[in-house]
Amino acid sequence: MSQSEVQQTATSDQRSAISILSMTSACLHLFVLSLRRMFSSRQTLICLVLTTLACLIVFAWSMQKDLTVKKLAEEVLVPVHAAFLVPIFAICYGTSGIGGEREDQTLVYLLITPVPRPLVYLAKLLAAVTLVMAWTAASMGAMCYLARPLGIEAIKLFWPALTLGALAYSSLFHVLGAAFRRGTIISLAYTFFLEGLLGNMPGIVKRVSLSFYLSCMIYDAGSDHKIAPLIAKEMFLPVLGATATNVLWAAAVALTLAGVSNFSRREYRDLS
Amino acid sequence: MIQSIAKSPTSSGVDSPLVTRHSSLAPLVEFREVSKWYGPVIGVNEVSFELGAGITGLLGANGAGKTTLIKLLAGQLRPSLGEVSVCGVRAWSAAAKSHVGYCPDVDAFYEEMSGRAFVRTMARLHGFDRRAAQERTEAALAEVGMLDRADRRLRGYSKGMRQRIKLAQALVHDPDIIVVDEPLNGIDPVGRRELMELFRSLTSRGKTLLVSSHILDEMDTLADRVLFMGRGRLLASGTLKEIRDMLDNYPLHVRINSDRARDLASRIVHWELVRGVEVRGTDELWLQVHRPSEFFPRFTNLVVDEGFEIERLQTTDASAGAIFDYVMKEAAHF
Repeated sequence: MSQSEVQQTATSDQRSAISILSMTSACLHLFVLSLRRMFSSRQTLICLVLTTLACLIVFAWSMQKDLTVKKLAEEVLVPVHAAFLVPIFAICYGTSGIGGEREDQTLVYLLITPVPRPLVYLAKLLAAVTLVMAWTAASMGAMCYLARPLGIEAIKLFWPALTLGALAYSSLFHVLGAAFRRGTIISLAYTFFLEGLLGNMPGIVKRVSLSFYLSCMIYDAGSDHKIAPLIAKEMFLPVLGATATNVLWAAAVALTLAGVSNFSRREYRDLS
Repeated sequence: MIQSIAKSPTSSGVDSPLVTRHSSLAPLVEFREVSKWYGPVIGVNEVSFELGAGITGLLGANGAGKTTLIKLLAGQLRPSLGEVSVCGVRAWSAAAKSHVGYCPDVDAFYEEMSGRAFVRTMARLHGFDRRAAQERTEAALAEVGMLDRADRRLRGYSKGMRQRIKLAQALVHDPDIIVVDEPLNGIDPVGRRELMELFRSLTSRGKTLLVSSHILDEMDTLADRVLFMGRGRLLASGTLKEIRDMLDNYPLHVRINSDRARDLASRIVHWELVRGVEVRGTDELWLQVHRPSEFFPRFTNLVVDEGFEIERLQTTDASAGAIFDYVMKEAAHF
């Protein structure tokens, strides 16, 4: 290789390194911008109100005698936190990632930058996931603190399930927000009708819902405390905790890829 | 279709990380047999043109396909057929976005931000670091005359100020091509004049501007070239003069005031270039002229040779509006 070719290669490498650096900087800025805008939106108020209500319920519940981890999980964490709060947090921030920008018609400003669309989608998703995780952790922490000392043990047992559930739900609702004009309404309908209906049906139909696998992870983690579904095990037909974990991871990855693919090709004709 | 388009210029040096400069010989913007359908509805139909330096006005009635064409150029839509390229790369690609500054028609912003913060945000999203983004922002705000008013929240801005901020965000990365959709809408006359001066100053720095507007009068003075759109088709492109000269079926109306109007009329009435002559009062002539590019030199010679005093010479239907009407009438025959 001649000296000029070496110099040319070096310059090219340097230029691509600069380009990668600035791309990273642009993506990071988009992430911070999204995080800040989502956090200062009315969604945060909704999450705060719901978390406060949930904490009040836990506080009232903690007045009972003979409290156990099993009771805490079956009467509070599963129905209030896993089945209600986590999906709501995910809807709030997941659908507003791309969907909110689309509704406000500001998405056009992201689509005219040289940041590739897949990175725009991922930066937005990351911001949404961060907020959903933060709310999931904060609400679980607050609820378990009110139910202490049982709560501390419950956190240790259930945080992986709830965190993974939050990730899977965020991925799902982020896709719906990007793909549909009324992403929030579709997500709410999905959560309360489809997940609620299918997740409680006997047999294997419920295996299409995320809530089923989240519940399986919780029941598996709490098996030492004999935490089990309210319906008979023969009817519930749970899968192993490891299987449920894999399915939720796979769902999160698949939904993210589907979202990236959809967003990268999609023409948003309604932006002006 | 009538067509005459100048070739592209070269651009300035590299000064930005994500933003690259166009330096190849490829046209800045090229539409090659581009069609775009929205389901069964056609938005743009087999459009081909190249865009060079200067201001190109994109004119057409509502629904003519202007916005579709602009969105194709800004990489917001993909062509159903054909290809749109910007500096040699497909307009849809992320690489093309660094060459294009897009000022959309939509009046939407991150309302909670100040004008300065919004423009700075756009600079950061173009890959500039904090310091460079700050410098770029100040330069862009100065360019649009918003330097001293940019710290107010966007939601409190007037329509004109919002338009300027939108323009500033389109300029912040110093693009080769600036695409502006209906920039004069809702702007007062003073603001319009200032914006038009800004557009002129941008072209003097070698920028290419595509300005869409349905306000045809402004295009007379603003645009170097025009693209006339109608029913999704590119009906005509070129300078207004070139297009006017080619409209043979519509002779140019010329109004002349001279102290010897009748004498002048008698001299030119038999010219084959003159389709009609009408004398109004004692000093006013109205002519219908074919092939103006031949008529005016000949007319000038006559005036000089015979010593006619011309008080006024005015073409009454060479404006963008008049030409647009004629082009639309012609298009109706197809």
